Amino acid sequence: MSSVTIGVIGTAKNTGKTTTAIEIMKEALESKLPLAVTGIGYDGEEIDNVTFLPKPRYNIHKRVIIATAEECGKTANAKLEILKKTDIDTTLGKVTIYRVKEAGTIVLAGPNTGRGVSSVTRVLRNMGAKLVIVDGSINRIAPMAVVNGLVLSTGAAREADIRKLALDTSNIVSVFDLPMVCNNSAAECTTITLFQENGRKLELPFGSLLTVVDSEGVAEKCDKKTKTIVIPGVAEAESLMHLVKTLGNDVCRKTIVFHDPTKLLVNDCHDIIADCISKIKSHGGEAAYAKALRLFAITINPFYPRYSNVYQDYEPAYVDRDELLEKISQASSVPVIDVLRGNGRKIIDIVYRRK
Amino acid sequence: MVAEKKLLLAPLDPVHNVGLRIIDKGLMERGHKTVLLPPDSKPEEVVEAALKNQVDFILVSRTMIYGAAEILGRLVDLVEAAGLRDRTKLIVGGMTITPELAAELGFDAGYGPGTEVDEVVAYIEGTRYVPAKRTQIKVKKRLENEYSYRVFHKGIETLLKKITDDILSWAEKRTSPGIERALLREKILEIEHAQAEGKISRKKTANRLRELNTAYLDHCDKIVVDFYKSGRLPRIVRVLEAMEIRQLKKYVAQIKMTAAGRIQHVLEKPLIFAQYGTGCPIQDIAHMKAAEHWGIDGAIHIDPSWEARAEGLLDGYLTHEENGTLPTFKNLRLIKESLNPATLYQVRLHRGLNSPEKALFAGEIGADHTKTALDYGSLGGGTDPARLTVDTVYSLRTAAKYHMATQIASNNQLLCGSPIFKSIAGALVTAYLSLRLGVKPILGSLFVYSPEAMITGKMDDNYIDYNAATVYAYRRIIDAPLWGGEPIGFNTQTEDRVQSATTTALHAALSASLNVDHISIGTTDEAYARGPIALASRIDTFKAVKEAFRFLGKAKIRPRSRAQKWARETVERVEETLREAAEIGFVESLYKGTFSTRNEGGYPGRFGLNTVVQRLAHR
Repeated sequence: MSSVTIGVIGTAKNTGKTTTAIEIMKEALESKLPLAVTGIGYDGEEIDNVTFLPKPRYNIHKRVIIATAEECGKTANAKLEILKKTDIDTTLGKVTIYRVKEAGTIVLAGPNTGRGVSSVTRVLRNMGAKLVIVDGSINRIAPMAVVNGLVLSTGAAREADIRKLALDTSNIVSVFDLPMVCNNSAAECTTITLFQENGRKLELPFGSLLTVVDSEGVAEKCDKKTKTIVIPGVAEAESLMHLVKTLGNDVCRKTIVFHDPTKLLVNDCHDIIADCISKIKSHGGEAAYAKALRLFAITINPFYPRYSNVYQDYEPAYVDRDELLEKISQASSVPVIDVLRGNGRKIIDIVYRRK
Repeated sequence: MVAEKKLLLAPLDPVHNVGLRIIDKGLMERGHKTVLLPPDSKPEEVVEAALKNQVDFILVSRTMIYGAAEILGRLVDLVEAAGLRDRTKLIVGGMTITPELAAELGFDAGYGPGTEVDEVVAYIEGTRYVPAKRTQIKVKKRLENEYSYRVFHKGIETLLKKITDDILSWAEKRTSPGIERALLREKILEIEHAQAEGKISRKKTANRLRELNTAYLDHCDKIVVDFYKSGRLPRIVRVLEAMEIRQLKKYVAQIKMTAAGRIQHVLEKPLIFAQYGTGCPIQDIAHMKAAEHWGIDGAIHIDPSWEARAEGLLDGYLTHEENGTLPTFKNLRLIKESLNPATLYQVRLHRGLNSPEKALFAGEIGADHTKTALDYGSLGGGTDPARLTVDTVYSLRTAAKYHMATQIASNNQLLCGSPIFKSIAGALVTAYLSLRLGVKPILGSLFVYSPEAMITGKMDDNYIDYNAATVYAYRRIIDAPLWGGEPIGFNTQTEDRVQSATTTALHAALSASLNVDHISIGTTDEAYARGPIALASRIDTFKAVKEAFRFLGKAKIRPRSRAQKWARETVERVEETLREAAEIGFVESLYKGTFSTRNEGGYPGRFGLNTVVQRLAHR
């Protein structure tokens, strides 16, 4: 069995990332999969750092390998054995690899960059982990570009209106639903690069589409003979839309290649990005990725922190979970899982293509 | 030489960018190149500017409301997706930022309130931050040594001399059970100390100790006799266990005074005193250690009220008394030894039947102040005037022997409502007596909502003029230090914590403005706690007073002109009162209402009535 790294990302704080990670972890232990866990934020804390509402705790079992900041290791209730201290800094000290000797609670605060995640998960796999879970943080996604696939947690904390949340989810799924280009040279581009029909390539002096000015710079250099536009960095939603509109029908028979889905999703304007993709396709063009990043499943969470004007504080609130599951499932082409009902097994089955 | 860094400073808040501007100034002074974006910058604009300027660091500030975490998370993601993350470090600052929150948001460093610019600069320059030494080496201040105690008003001085001559000759021939116990206790302590130091054999002195203890009990009330003879403790009271004392000593040793605060801002005074008396010495010590951390200058021991009415003191480490902490020798010593050596310490002797003995305890443990009040203790404190007078003369001699100063309380405060001129007259008699016995007095009480003023309406408009008039009156008479409280603002505080802290702070500001030397500050639940006060309510007033001093600085509050007029009138009537006391004889004048009539709230106390006896010639 090959080793897999799963990233758990969320559309907002409190959408159930840690709950999802805990459920996957439980099922992995049940399946006797050698397991390692880390996180890109600060997960498993008792009380939320912003709302002060209770959070799910990480109760890590014996023999699981974890990567967390040394300060978190010191204050863990689990008994830990240090396996390796890395050079990766966090605000709470160096990321350190531990083996759990006696089960207990721990806070996970691992590497906060893609390079860090890549380096730490490699170490964890080398230590024998067949499944590495990387818990996400807030709505952050960029460091997850290096994992094998993602589980997306969404729910009422992102949007308490289920209809709007379903639309948002559908937009995110459509961003993941693009093909990967076979051409290796796209993945190697470090700045925006235009490939012409005659094999010529034109490298622009910037890697991201951050402003309308950037978009005009790209559109200006494009002509009918441009076959592929590679954007290795961020494609800001409005700027991408401006590029698509400026190219208009000229996008026909052109492929716009983004590095990976995270470069589009960092915008948090999923509707505009989905609209851009749809416009590219409707004009006869194509959108694709240089690097694949699979979306394994979506988990949903009916909880959201509601601000009470009476108590001037946050209080727990919930939307109807059955309706939530139904509407999100209808909007998504990937499996949607109510993780609070203990469906970690389904995720493991999807990841390992088990029947 | 540190290499120049390029930094982008981006306030993501709609308006607040002060923090970043301060950091910006610090960074520029260190020779770094900075770009400061305008407030309310969008994450995309930040990334664009970072790309354009090829910066090494991005510093952002943001108030953390719900939804702000997502904005900051998006910025971190954009920086990474734009390919900047390997080269650019991210720093976040804001009022609620902690290292944990910074980790959650994906930043490399996070700084919350109270961060020093140098701390951020050190991170940027990759050096180790060594905080500037903030530890205030507290130096004990005995402000009474700065005064000449010259009496400016010669008429008043003549009367004070006559009255105190009268007191001293009257007391010379008299004694009380309190004095007799103090004499015995002195001998008992002497033997106990010598035993503890191994200078004498326990066996040889056992009989002598037994005799002294038996003699001691001859002068005690039943509650005290029962304690020594059958070990019966007053209701609720229990003995601290050896393990509790060990743990306490360990706890005190572990507390390092790394950042003793300072409440007074730019001023040298008033010195600030906190009172304790939860009934539990351990809790008292915890409170006073916290108070020392906040920057108090002195601690005041508050006894339970029944102790003032009983002849004799209990012994040992006793706890769980309900309305004050039992003043046993061991309790007082334990508390005093737990305090910072620079913290002034006061044991109160202004009322009750045990002041001679407590004066001895205070001296033995190294206290700095006692509290004395012939008129207040006898007319408002419930102790028989003759008894309190004879005991006070003895206590003051003890205070002189141990170089303690004494705070003079006056009966204008608390439950009495004596006219201010009578209060000042009474306080001056006690103060002058102290001076004659070699003890430096600190005159009070000030800055309370005087019951007299409630009746006369002199505080209807403001709390300033009446208090200022009292300060001016004292200063027209004598060059002596003053004490506000206690606590300051008494009778102005309500159950509302904000109101209570505010009024305490305003009275503190007035005391600073009038150059008063000492103040006692209460807690915001002082009068309403319905049990031991809470530490949080103590900190309420420390913080409020600190803010008031920060606000006032060296500026002054200007009382209205009537304050000086009232002061002149007061001084004239002080002389009248003293003349009357000199004519009647001091002790007699206390019974007769010279210093406060029953109508004015002065009731001669009954505890210790008829206990003053002629002293035997052989002593």
